[in-house]
Amino acid sequence: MTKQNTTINISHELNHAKTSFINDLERISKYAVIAEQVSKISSEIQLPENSIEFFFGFGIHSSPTNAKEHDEAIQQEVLENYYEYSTRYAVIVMITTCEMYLIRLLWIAKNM
Amino acid sequence: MSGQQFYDLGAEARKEARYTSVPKLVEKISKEIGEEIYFDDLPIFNSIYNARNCLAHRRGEIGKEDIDENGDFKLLWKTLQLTVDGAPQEQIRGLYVEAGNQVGFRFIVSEKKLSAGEKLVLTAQDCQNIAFTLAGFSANMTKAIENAARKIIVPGSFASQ
Repeated sequence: MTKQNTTINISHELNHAKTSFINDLERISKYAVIAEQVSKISSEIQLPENSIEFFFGFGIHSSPTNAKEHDEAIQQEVLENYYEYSTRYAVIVMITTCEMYLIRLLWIAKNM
Repeated sequence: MSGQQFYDLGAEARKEARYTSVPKLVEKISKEIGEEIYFDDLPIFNSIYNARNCLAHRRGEIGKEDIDENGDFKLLWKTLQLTVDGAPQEQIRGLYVEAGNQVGFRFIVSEKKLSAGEKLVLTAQDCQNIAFTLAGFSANMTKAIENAARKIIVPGSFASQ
């Protein structure tokens, strides 16, 4: 579909993009608040099995060698610093969400 | 517009945005609408983006990549401050206000300043402040594009909600 035969309601698209972005921000920042509450009530947090993969890409990385020992060390570090990892994750995801929002604005701008 | 149509139409924008930093995306949008997008929030937004890079690539350890020419790392965000007759109030809970006094809110910019070698650690309240700041940023971006759109007369492409 080309720019010539695409007609969009700019005001509607802008408002929809903004509302979705703000809703996402609210959900992500609540995650950090929940993590704070969890870290206050329990020093022994049981993380799901896939939590190591979950945190990869957010400041910790898998090792090609000694993977099992490496993963266990990361698991321990995440457990000990759960709150810090959660707030770090929240900011990174907020900016990723912002990037998606700006790409949507770029698309709207291209179709004005 | 269906989700699939939106996805297809957005492919070009996504391709162009690949490997583009978030602040550069704002510049690209400015170029598309033919007007420079600038508002007071932009330096604040850029500081949050820099903090993201430090958290993602250096686990919050402030490196030489993160500091400015004065050797400082600054993370800025906006918060709301309660005022009574223009005077800022630190304590909100249990605040007593006399009849006839004016209660108000104003935006203030707060900062977290660190040096190389220190570690950036954020609280849940910090995350909420960052979310609040980014929400304000989106309102400004929307306004900038709407203003540009009003200058371009394309029948059917712009309608007030």
